[in-house]
Amino acid sequence: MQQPRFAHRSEAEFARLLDFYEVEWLYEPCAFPIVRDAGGKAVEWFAPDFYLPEYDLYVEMTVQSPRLQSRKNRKVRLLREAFPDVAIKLFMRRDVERIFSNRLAHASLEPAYPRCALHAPHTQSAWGPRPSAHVHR
Amino acid sequence: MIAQRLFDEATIAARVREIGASISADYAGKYPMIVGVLTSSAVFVADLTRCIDIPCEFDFIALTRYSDAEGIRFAKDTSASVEGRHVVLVEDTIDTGLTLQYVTKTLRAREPASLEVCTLLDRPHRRIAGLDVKYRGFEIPDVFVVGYGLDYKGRYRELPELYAHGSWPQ
Repeated sequence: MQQPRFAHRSEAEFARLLDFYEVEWLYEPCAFPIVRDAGGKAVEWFAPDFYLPEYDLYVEMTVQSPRLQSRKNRKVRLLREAFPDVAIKLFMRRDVERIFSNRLAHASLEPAYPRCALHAPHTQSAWGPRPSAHVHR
Repeated sequence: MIAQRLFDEATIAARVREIGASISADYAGKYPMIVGVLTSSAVFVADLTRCIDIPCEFDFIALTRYSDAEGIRFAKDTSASVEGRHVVLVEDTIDTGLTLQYVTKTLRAREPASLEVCTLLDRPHRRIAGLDVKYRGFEIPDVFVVGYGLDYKGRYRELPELYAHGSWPQ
């Protein structure tokens, strides 16, 4: 099974963490229309990095660049406004590092990719295409 | 480097006594099994069990570390069976909740009579797994905490108070 192509190392690390805890995850399973024009047509979409079905939670990762963080904050805010029932959490790379260091303070943090990839349900989301959905357990 | 004291001995002791009293009231006649997660909860468990004024048993589990290739597992299991027992699982800190989620799921599969969670510290900033925490010592901000059993690379566990460390382990 093909691994997802993570956009950033922090995403791969987060996936590795979820694998360690045996938490099922999907990578960029769907896109949400967060901005619509006057006619109601979606003009801006947002595809959160991860969806954790067990917790019905989307997770968006961001690096520490203030410019990128501000852009991600805006997308998360718009998503919450448009879809108040959708739970999403914004994680900074620092958060991932702190999760590792808090729980497992003596382990070295080496770059690695998730251990397994069982299947990819290329299903269509209610909100948009899911071209790169991967279910991992 | 230790940056700041968060909770002094008297504050910790008072809170532990309150939690002990709550557990004593909730589990009267039930002979609860207090299960600590090693190593950081050891000091808390030792103090907490001495503040429980009903008969109880205590035990410990340990978990594999992140560097272990097989994923999270019990590196040390309880010495006694939890089946049919009223279990209070004691953690030092809840962060994402993922560790606790794994432990509670594993223990629930063994069919205890009941299972509740007690934590000394709750750091909800990065919570992923929504958990029902019945007994909570202190809520803390996003800082790395040492002392009272909690360590930074093996150090500071022996300190009687809780401190914010100046940095996170790299």
